[in-house]
Amino acid sequence: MKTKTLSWRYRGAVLSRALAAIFGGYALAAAFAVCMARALPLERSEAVLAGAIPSFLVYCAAVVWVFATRTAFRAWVGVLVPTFVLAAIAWLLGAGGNL
Amino acid sequence: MKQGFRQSQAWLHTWSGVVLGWLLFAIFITGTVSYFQDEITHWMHPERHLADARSVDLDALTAALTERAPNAPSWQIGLPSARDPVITTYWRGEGARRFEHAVFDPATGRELVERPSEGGNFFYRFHFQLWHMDVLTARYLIGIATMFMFVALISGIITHKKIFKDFFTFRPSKGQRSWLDGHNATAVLALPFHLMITFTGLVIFLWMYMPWGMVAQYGDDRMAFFAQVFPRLEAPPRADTPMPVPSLQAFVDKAQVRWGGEPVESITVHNPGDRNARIELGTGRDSRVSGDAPHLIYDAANGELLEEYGELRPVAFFSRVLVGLHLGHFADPLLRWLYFLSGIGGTIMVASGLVLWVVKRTAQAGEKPGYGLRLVRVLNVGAVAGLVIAMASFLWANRLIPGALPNRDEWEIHVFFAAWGAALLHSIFRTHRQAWVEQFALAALLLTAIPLLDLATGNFHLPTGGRYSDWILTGFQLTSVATGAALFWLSWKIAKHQPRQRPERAARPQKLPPQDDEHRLDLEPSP
Repeated sequence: MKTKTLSWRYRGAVLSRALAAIFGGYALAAAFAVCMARALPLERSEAVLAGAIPSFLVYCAAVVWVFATRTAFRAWVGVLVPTFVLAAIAWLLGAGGNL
Repeated sequence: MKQGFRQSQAWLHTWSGVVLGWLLFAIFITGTVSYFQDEITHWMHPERHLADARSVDLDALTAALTERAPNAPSWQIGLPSARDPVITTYWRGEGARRFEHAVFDPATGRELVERPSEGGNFFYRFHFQLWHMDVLTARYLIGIATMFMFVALISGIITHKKIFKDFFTFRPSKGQRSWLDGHNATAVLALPFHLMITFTGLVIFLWMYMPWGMVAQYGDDRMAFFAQVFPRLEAPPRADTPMPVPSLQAFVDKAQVRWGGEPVESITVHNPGDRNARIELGTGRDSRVSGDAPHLIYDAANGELLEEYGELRPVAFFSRVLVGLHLGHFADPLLRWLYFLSGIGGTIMVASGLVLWVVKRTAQAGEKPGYGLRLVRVLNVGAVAGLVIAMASFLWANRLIPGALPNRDEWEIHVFFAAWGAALLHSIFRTHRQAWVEQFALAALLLTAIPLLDLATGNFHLPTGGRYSDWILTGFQLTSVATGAALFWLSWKIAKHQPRQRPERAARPQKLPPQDDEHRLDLEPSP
């Protein structure tokens, strides 16, 4: 069925991007949701919802970006850096800020 | 770089679509028919067909429930509506986790002794949690499929830079091109619907799919979160002083005056038979898009209004509007049909995408298709045509399985899965085209014969008036016949189809761009 054989390097890069998209993208969306839940000046339950609803858009945008960017390495960096930044802000706003 | 971006999205679209395409097809088709869940349920319960919803005897109902469930913590009573012309009641049995339920004839208040059947609830449950598997696992699986669908939609939109031009392009009888055009047309035609339905599908189970904000802010106390989002009545404990349930009609009348004539469609009696009883009334779930109709709570002992609630906070309200858009309970008949047709469009979009996947690779594979391609072909037929057969068989089983058979509701579902399995086996042993033709023809036969089946089993009723409820059964039959006719046409088209694309390709090779690049992700930066 294949007209040309795909190199292992190619397959590995695709796998790496798929992992970055599925797990990295979800981590980014989750970090976004938590950060919004803590940062938004709304009632507690309202802020939770206001963070969680758009998080699916963040996830989708992350997946699109992971497969569009030039290299798998860039894909990982592009997903993980904002995840850590958002997680750090969320931590500072939460219990972490009181330490 | 721009070309590279679109190409990467085409690759993403192809693979994210096909990986869960079969599951998505099942989700789409069962979800689409669930817009007529009440109507299907009504058709599948012949005992309800002669119920008359024009008058409602609530006193007789109260007497019957007092006898059936005197010590239940609460009774939930669904009053008749145009789409569901009977009274449906639920209560939690003593110490039992499962809800029990009974259905009553509105006019007489007498319980309808029904043949057990899941009815339209089967398709509805299947739509979001499948069957024969752990409910939570299934919901996560469907959440993953929904997210894949969302990504496939967005990447599909990016792939089509000429999205509106593509929509008006249909090149029939051109093999792969026609499938592509059909896939694009059904996708773009109802694109706002697809985007809405996929996104809101994720929002419905938000607290499962993206709980981390809730976990961060509430810890283990999830109930506190839900209590803040959806304020509910905490009924007082029983006083253990017996007091008969008062006449419910008086409360219904009071509520209707308060709501300016809007019909009361739900009644919950908390602590029935006790002095601390509370009567909670709600309007129909079709009264607002968000479905969170206002509720009134009365003290049953003195008839005093204790509380009125239903106003949600802004973001919670917004989330309920999103959920309400997905469920479509608010939709009038015309809009309901648009929902249904958009759902059919989505179902065809997924199916044509699956077929396109095979058509494309068949053209590339030439004479000798590999194992992977053959597997996808078999599964395509079984998942698409086979599921339609299974759903139609479920309807036939409802009419043909004797009412007295123990667990007959489960047997209806066994028939569904047996028919699905048989269709899958059939597609292994027939050529690809024979499998499509024969399975669509069988599905078409089963659906067009529904009125005959009703006639033969004594369930044929002509509409007696102009009301919606008079037309439920006839509407069901006409929809089955129309769907069956469409499937006959499809089967006939496939049977007489002559694959012409290869000679055409040879004659005009420059017209077709090379297809190979599209599903190979461009990793090397283009020069």
